Amino acid sequence: MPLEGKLTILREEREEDVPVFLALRNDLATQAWPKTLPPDFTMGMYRQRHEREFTMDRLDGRFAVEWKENGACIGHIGYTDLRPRWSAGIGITILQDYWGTGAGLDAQETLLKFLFEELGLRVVRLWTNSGNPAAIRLAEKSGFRITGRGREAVFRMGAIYDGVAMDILREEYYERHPELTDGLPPLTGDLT
Amino acid sequence: MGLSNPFQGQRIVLRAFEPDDADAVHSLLNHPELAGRRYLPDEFPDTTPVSTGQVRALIEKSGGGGRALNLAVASEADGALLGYASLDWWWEPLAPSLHVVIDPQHWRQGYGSECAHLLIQFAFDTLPARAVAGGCASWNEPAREFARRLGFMETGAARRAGLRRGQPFDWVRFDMLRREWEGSNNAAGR
Repeated sequence: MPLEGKLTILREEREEDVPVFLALRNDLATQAWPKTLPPDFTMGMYRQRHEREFTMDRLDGRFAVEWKENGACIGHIGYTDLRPRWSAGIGITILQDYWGTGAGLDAQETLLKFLFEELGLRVVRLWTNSGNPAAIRLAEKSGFRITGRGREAVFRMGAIYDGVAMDILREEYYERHPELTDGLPPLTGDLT
Repeated sequence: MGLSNPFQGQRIVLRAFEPDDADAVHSLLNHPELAGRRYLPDEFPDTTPVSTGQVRALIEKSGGGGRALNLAVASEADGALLGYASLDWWWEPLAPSLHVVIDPQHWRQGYGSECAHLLIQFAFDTLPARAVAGGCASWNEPAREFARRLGFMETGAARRAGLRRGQPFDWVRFDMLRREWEGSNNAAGR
């Protein structure tokens, strides 16, 4: 069963998705790396970078975002740095043609539901920068809060920005989702 | 102006690790007071016992690949190992991260400050850094006070960084901008 939202499906990456991922990686607006990479990735480089082997000990997850309306792959979303039953960091990239459609928020909410309901995380984090207000707004729509900054730590598009750290706690997620019941008891002292 | 060694302080010297340091590093890392504040790479334990094999691997890895410094803090007087320190700009030379760890038996004697001053100065002298950054667990009040005294500003915290004695704690972030360093007494008189 894929992870399904109202507008998008998060599914495994497929060979036919690679041109989309390559386009995202070679677009400075969607590259999403504060430390910008040259937009010169080739198909071969991309495939090499993303080759994965099967293991039961997964500390990351990576999904293609499929637009339900037409079945097109429109981006990717994933988590890294998993500390099992505790925390992970997320990242999302969507084709510019689909900005403003609700696709990003839908995919983000679908991933968060998986991380809290299935992986039982206590906190989910993300990093962006003050030069990317759209990313901050998207995160805030899902309940992320800005919790830290790295002052003047990012340079992109010709300007210096702050790195921005955001996170959402488990109880904050469930407060926003009264349709869900948190079946994982809080830890002692975990309510502050 | 004469030549000076940027890694030479009044009472300390920062030098590369050598294989002979293994026993002293093993003893230092396993000091119970340092559990949770070792600031090692992710693959090494932060709170649980460290083996001699892990220490050897750590020393082996300490070269830093040209984008980090991992140095022993040694006594200028007798060469004894006082601690270790790192400055890492692998991800972002605009904001290298600094960590200083001093053997608890040598705490509150000014070695940490001297070490931090050398490495902050090195960062701003040799890297295109806009800031030097650091972090520590929220329960580590001595480290937070140490950072404040050096001129760092707390800029937030990653919430729920871990559990300690059954209680969740945050990871406090701090940084100091180049202009703050240059405008402070720290960099005066160079």
